[in-house]
Amino acid sequence: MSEIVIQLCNIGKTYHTGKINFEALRNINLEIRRGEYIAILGPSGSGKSTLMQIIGCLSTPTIGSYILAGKEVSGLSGDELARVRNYNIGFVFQKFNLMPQLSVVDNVTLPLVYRGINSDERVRRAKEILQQLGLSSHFAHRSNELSGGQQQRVAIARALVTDPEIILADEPTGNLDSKAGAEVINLFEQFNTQGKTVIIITHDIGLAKHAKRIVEICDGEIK
Amino acid sequence: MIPLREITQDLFHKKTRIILTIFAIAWGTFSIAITLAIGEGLRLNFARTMANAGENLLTITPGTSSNEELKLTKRDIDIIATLPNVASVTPQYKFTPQLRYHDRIIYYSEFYAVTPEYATIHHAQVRLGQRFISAFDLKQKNSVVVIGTKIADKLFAPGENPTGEIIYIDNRPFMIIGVMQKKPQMHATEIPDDWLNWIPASTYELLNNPQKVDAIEISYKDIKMLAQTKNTIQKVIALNHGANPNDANIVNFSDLEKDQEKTNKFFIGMQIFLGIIGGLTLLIAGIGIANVMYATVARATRKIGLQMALGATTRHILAYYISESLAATVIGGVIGMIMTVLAVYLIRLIPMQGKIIEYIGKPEPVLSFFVLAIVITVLGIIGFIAGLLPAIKATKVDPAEALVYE
Repeated sequence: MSEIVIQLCNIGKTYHTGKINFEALRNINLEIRRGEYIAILGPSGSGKSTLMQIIGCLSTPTIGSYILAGKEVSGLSGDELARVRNYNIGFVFQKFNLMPQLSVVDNVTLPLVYRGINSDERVRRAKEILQQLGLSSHFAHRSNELSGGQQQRVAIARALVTDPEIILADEPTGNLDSKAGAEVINLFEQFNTQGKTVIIITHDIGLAKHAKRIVEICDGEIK
Repeated sequence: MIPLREITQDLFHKKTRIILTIFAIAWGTFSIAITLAIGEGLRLNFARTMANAGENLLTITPGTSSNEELKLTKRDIDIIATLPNVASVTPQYKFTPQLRYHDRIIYYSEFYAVTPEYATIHHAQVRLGQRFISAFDLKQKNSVVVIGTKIADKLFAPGENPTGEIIYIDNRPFMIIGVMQKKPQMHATEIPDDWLNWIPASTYELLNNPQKVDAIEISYKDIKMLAQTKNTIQKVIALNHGANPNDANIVNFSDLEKDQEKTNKFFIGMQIFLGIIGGLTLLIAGIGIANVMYATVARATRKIGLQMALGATTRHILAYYISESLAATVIGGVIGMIMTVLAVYLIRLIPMQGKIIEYIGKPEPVLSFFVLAIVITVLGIIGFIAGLLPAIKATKVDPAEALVYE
C-alpha cells in the first residue's frame, strides 16, 4: 500500500448565518492514499462542495483534524493555506474559471507567478503542458475564444503546471458535452496512471463510476 | 513579478470610467506642477532682481542725536572702511539737477555722487567698451558722468553714441564716460538704476562743498557678523559725533537681507498655497482612482477567489491591486507632466512687456528638481493609498465563498 496523502479525522463544518447554525459536515473520516482515483458522490446539498473546499484547503473545518501530505493543515492561516494549495493541489472547476482577458499561456502560468518563478521558466513549463494536452496551436488565444472542451483542457493544464500531488476536480464535466466530457475523463485516467492522486467531486453516478473508489456523501455524512 | 499585461487589461475593463479618472490625475498633476513651476520661476527671478539691487548691501542713513539730524561726514566713512566685516564703502550724495544736451533738457534727474566702490556694491555694469567712475576720476575730481539707460534714451537718438559727449549738469559741462547696462532690479526704497546718473563724489564735493553725506553704503563680507557690524558702526559714529554710543537712533540701517528673507518666505508661502490647491485636485483624482478600484474589486470577487485558490497570498493580492492603481496614476502623471512641459514652453513664448516686467524681470515657470520631486512624491503617495484601501478589501475575500457563489 502507498502512503496516505489525505487524512480527515472527525471533521465537522458548521456555518453560522445570523442566529441559525447549519451543520454542513459532521463526523467525516476519510483516508486517501497516493495514486488513488476517487470520486466523492452526492446530490446537491449533501455537503460534498463543503468537503471539497476543506480537502482543497479553501476553507478550514470547524472541528477535527486534517493532515495533508503529513502536515496538519486545519489550523493554518490564510496565507499558509494559499501556499499549501499552490504546492499540493491542482484545481479543476465546473465553470473552468479561466481569466477571459488573458491568453491561454498567461492563464496557465498564473499559479507559477504566485510561486515566484521567473517569466521565461513559467512560459516554458506552461507551453510544455499545453503541448501534452494538444493545445499547442492556441497559446496566444484568449481563453474565451476557445470551445468548452478546450477551455477545460486549459484549466487542467493550469492545475498540472505546478506538478501537484493531488488533482481536485469539482464537477469537471458539468458544463461540457458528452464528447468533450469523455476526453476530460480520459485525461484524468491518464494522470492517475502516471501516479497522480485524482479526486472528483460529482453528483453524476456515471462520472463517478470511472473512479476506482466511490465515497458517497449524504446530509453531511459519509455513507 | 506580476504580469503587467493583466493589470492594464484589468484596468481598462471599464473604459470610460478609468479614462476619466486618468484624465483627472493628469489634470491634477498638471495643476500642481504648473503652479509650483510658476511659483518657482517667480521666486528665482525675484531672488535675482534682489541680488541685482545689491547683495550684502547695507545702507546707513543719518538718524537724530539730541533732536537734531546727525550729519554723516567723510571721517565716518574713513573709520567704517577700516572695520573688519566691511568689504567696500561708498558715500552717497543725492541731488536732482537739470540736465541738458544741446536743446534736449531733463529738468529733474536723479544723481548720485559716489566713489568707484559703488559699482562693486551694486553689481553695476556699464555698456561694452565704456567705464564707470574710476579711482583716477576721484583723485582728479574729473567732470565725468555715467548715465542711466532711460536717460540715454531721452537725450540721444537711437544709434547715437553718448560716450565722449558733453552734457550740462546745472549748466556745468560733464563728459559722458559710460551708459549703465539695463538690468531688472527691485528694491522698494530706491530709484531703479535705469533712471539714475553718477558723478565722482570728489567732484561733487569740490563744486558744492557739502556739509554732510546723505548716505553711506557698504557691502559686508559675512552675513553672520552683520548684527555685530551694525552695532560697531553705530558706536563709532556716535563717538565721532560725541553722542551716546548706546543711542540706537543716531543712524538708520537698511539692508536687503531682511527684505530678501521676507520675499523668500512670501514666495515659499505662495508655493505651499499653490501646491496645496494642486494637491487637493490630485487628491480628488486619487479618490476617483480608489473608487474605480473599489468597483473593480467588488466585481472581481470570483477572480480574487480564483487567484487565492491558485496560491495568491495577501502580499500578491495587495501588490496586484496597488500596482493597478499605480499604473493608472503613472499614466495620468505622465500625461500631466507632458502637459506641464508644453505649457511651460508656451508660457515662455509669450512676449511680456510693461513697467512691471522692467522692475521684476520676466517671470518664467521653472520645472526644477524640487518641483518634480514634490509632484512625483505626491503622485506616488496618492496612487499607493488609492490602491491600498481597495486592495485590503480584496484580501478579505473568502476563496471558498467566492468560487461557489456567483
